[in-house]
Amino acid sequence: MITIHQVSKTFPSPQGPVAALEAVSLRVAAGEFVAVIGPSGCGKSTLLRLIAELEQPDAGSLVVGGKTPREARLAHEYGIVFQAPVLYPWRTVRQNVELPLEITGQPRATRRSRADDLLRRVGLGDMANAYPQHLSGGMQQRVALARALAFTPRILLMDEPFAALDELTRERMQQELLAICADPALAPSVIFVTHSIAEAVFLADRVVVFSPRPGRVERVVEINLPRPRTPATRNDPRYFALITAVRAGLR
Amino acid sequence: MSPPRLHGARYLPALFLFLVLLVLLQVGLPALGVPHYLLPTPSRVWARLTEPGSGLAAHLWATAQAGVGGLLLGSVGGVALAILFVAIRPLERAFYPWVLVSQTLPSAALAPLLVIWLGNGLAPRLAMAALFAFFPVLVNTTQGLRQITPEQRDLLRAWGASSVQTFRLLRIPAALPALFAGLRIAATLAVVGAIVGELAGSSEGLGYVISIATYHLQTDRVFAAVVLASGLSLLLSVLLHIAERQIVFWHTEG
Repeated sequence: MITIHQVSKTFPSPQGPVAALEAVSLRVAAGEFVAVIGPSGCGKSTLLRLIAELEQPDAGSLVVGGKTPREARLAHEYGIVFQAPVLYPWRTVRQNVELPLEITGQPRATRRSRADDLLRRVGLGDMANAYPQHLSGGMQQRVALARALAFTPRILLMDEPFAALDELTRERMQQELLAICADPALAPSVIFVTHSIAEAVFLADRVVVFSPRPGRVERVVEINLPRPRTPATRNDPRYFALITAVRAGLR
Repeated sequence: MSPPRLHGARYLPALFLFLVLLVLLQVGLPALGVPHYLLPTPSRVWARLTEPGSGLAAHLWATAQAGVGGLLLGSVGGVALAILFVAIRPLERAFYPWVLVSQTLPSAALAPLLVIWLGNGLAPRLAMAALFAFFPVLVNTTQGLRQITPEQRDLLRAWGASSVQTFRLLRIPAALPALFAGLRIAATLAVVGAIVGELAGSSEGLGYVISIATYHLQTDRVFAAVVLASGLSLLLSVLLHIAERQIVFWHTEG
């Protein structure tokens, strides 16, 4: 679904050029869940932004859903969720979810029913007419997730989406994200950037550990925990062993 | 979390202070022997204001037309130029420094020129009010159109929005709080601009009343005109405040 080959990216800074990524290669299969973890400033977010074609690589190549990143962006191959919900306060929850569909000029009725479906999917069916600033942080992030699914993308790019949430909300959101991934009607490939080892292990099929700047793929840990993952998974000895393995990779 | 109300008990102390001041002036001025052509008592000013056949209402109306018309013209111009500046960076680089430099001109000094160019009808007063209103709207709107987070912009880019869509769906709504902040300043300045225009050469308006009454040493009439002018500014401010509440409902600070 995504092939990243020898990608490098350098940013200018007042102290001279800073290498964010160096010769990163990564493949993500259809429906696969890949978590990317690494120290701050290791270029994890840059990797997502390159896939999303919000940045251009200096070297190397990317293939996203069989297309160039630009074609993939314009074909709405991916949905993206940031750490902040990035909702528009002058739009209701429903209008926020409708926004990407409005940009592509879909008729009002289509937009509305799609938005309402997605809001029910993330458990906010009765919040459609509320304004986002009246919602809790967790609910706002659900709206952002619903919006990212507006085009039924084959790829979901998530940049520390649950990092600002409290522990309980965070675990509930992880569970709901897994339910979305298991839904055959959606079943996106996911690249999930996180700082949390436990979160990476709980969610992913593979955890990619990045080195400190410049970011390189340091190690890939296969997460062979059975699915569906449930709260019981968090008590599984294999879960703890994998957390230890990822932590060792981060050293 | 509920927004402060426009009316209500929190304005009582200010109102009380105002009344105390009026009483002090009313009692104090005659007691100190201040002649009324220097500083009239509030009751004299009130008598001028309410005197039948003073023509003040017509003059107020003339100033209101120039002030409100100028505010509209200046704001539309300011918003349009702000959008152009933000949409076309080189245009801003070329013009913005000159816009700033133009603010060092004493705008009031242009009033006589405008009378020469535009005659002594409504046009020069309208132009003066527009000139005063234009700058705060331009500066605030330009800033407001830029007040978007990188992520808000990234999302629109991810969805493939055109630059027209980026303005319509993101930049313009995001700029509304700043636009209203600019409009509030502009409303007061537009009334000042209209009066400056009238002082420079006009046969109607509160500025005209002030200049004629000053010549005849009718200080109470001058004050009556000043009171009406500040009332007009106040009314515009209140109307804008109400409109802001309705339009920028999501913006609670300030």
